[in-house]
Formats: sequence, C-alpha cells, structure tokens
Amino acid sequence: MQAESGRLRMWLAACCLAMLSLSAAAADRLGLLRSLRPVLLDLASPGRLLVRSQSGTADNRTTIPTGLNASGEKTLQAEMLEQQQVLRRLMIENARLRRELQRDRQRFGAEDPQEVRSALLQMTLLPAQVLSCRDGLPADLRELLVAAGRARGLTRSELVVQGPGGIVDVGRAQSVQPGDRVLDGLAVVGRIEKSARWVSLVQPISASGFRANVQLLRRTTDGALFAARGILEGVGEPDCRLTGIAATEAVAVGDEVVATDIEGLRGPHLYFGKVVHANFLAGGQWDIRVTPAVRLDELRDVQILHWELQPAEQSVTTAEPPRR
Amino acid sequence: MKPVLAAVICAWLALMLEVSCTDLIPRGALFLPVVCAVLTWQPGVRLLLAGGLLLLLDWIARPTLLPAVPLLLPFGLLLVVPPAPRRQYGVGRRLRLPTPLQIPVLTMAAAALQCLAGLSYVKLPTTAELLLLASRDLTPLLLAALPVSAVLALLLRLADETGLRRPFNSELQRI
Repeated sequence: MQAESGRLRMWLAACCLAMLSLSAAAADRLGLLRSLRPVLLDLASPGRLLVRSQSGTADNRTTIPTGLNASGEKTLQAEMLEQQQVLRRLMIENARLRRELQRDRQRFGAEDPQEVRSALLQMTLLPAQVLSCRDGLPADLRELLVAAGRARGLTRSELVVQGPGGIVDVGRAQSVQPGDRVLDGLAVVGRIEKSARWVSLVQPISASGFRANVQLLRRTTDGALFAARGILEGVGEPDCRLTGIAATEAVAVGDEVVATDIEGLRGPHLYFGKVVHANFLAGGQWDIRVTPAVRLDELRDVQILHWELQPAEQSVTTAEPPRR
Repeated sequence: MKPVLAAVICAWLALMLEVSCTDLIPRGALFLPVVCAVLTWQPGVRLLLAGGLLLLLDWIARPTLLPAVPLLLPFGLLLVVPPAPRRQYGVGRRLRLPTPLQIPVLTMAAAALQCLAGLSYVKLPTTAELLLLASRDLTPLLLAALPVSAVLALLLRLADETGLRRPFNSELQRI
C-alpha cells in the first residue's frame, strides 16, 4: 500500500514536471525567460573563469594597433573570412576616396591625424566566446549568448561583430587611423541586449527591434560608390528590412549594406549584409530586404565593439607634418 | 534534504565543467549522466523533482526548441526504476533492467531526446536528416556520456555494497 502510494506520488510529480516544462516552453516563446537566461549562465560561469585563468588567457583587449604584423596559422575557413574582409575593406576605401573627391570629409571631427589621436574616445575590440546559440529556429526564437558581461565594462547596445580584425599589416605610413580601416568590413552579428556579470545576451540583427543607420555600397564599373542611406530594421524574420530610402534613390539587388555610424558616433563602416529583394511599390516606396552576412550557427568567437577613454598620449612621430 | 542538496551541488559542478570546456565536452555529456544518477540514487518524489527541475533549468540556460528532456525523462525513469521492492505477485508492466544498466539506459534516452529537441520541426525530418543528426550530434555525445554513466553506475553499485544507498525509502531490500 505504501509502495503504491509512493509510486502514485512519483507519477504525480512527473506530471507536474511535464506541466512545468510546457509552461516554460510557452514562457520562452513569449520571451519571458530572456532575462533569466544570462543569470543562470552567470551561475555556471565560475568554472569557465577558473579554466581561463589557469590556462593563462587573461582578458585580452584588442586595441587598434598600427604597424603590427599579422601572425599565426589560420585554418582555411579563417583565411577565406579574412580575404572576404580584405575585399570589403578595399571596396569601402575605394568608395570613401571617391567621396573625398566630391566633398570635404570629416573623420572624427578632424582631418589632422594628431587631432584624431587626441580625441577622448577610442574603439576597442573585446573578444568573446559564443556560449549558446539557437539557430535553425523561427527567427523570433533566435538568440545568442556570449561570454562577456558587466565585469568587462559592457552595459548594453554595444555592437557585436565577427572577423579577426584589429591586426593588419599596414601602419602609420599608409595613414591608417585608429578605429578606422581595421574595423571596416567587419560583419555585424547583433547588439548587446542584456548584460549579466559574466555573460551577455546578443540581439541578432534579424531580431525584432534591432535598428541601425546604414548606407548602401554599390559596385560599379568605375569602382565602389556609396549610395542611399536608410535604416536597417530587424523584423523577426530571417531577412531584415531596409527603410527610409527615398523614392528618388536607386537601389539594386546585390548592393552591399554598411553602417554609417556606431552609437551615433562617426566610425568604421561595418558590414551588415546584401540586398536580396528590391521592389518599388505602387505607393512610391521601396520594399527592400537584406540578408544578414553572418549565420548564427557558424559562430564560435565574436568581438564586441566598445568605446573607452583613450589612454594618456605617448610621444609619437608622424609621417606628415600637421596641416595648418 | 541532504540527498537533494548533494544532487544540486553535483549537477552544478557538472554544468560548470561543461560550460568551461565547450570545445572539448559536448553539451550534456557530463550533466545528463549526473542527473540520471541523481534520479536513480534513491527513487522518490524529492529526487525526482530535484532532477527534473535541474533539467528544466539547464534547458532555460541552454535552450533548444522543445524541453523534451525535462518533459519526458521523468516518465522514462518511472518505467525503468521500480519505486519499491518487486513483489512476488505484483501486477503492472515495467521494464526490468538490472540496476547497473539503469543509468546508461537513461543517459542514452536523455541524449536522444536532447538531440531530437534540437530539430526545427518546420517539416517532418527525413531519414537522411535523422541519420545526419545521429552521426553529427548523437554519436559524439554518447561517446562522451556513456563512459561517465558507466562510472556512475559502478559508484552506485559500490554504494549499494557499502550500505550508503538505500534505494527504497523506508523498506528494507529483501535479499
């Protein structure tokens, strides 16, 4: 009798667990568990931090160096990624040089390299490992968790990018500016949505609520040209929507989409994706769809763009005398 | 409460180790055998609820489309593990598994549920997709999880022999 009642209690407990699991699934679908997820991963983070400290890989901040050489062996995939990034950088530089011929360009509010270096802020790249990724699911359930949080100075709204970045084999002699060419062409994964102490939740660019100021980059027979500006919006579908393009502007399938600014500040041209659908509607508006450059299920490591105060100026020599 | 506290600590340690070495340890290779061992240590309501809640919290932290493991594994436990000594004239159907096989079988079931829960189910998966899932996800997971479950099964047997484990709450196991 006692055994039978015990068995009945266990069946009841199993049924309660099943109901709780279904409730959790429904709550996750409604997005109610998004704030709990980073907290739970924070509880499991001490082991990861301990392993990292034991292996000697401290928190490396990849500042934007100049004149350093790329080093280390790369896999074939990483090489292809780097070649794509180099190609995008060249296209963007081509378009920028063309624009400089047409009008005055202000980069960080000044053209003098010394004034650029004396700016208060500099951009750094924080490397982070992808902890959890849900891809291959309906777009409103796609999300990404990375191993970087408030302990590394992140709050929210920092952009998350993919790509080696940060180290190139060009330097001051080629007029590389800090925070500029090295980051050009890095593919944007998303934006930090919530930060716990050691982990952060990333909002992919295809997620509903994502917004970014972007500009079209078009390849022509004369080279790359910057085209219309607009706003890239995530709509919870695999492709994003591009709005704010004037009806008089030209848009073509195959145009690249790059960023115009980062958090309201002029910065490098990050890469979002490519236009896959451009239809001019009867009401005089564009219906433009952009496919993201990055697939979440391919990500293992990402980098987070983080503004921070510049360290104290060091005495440096410049290749060109300051302009007056 | 002691077994529940020990179960939570062991599961938390296993989860920490998995999260710290995601490159080396497949997801669930440590956590699932530990939770299965928790569930079979002392079949009862407390440990069943503790194990189920741990599985649910793991799903919330590292989600898939469906919480298949916390949803179905407790029922699998009830089919495999008898909650009381087998009575000579007992009725009711249940699988009869030797005690050392309970943890590995539950681990295999949990691993299969975890892999199946990762499919999108926009359309029914084809045989080729299931074979790909088995070779890409399930096989590496089982290769890591089954040895762990075997070690835990041996520890369970050792606990039986030394009298540390009393699988039936208030009844003495009949020899």
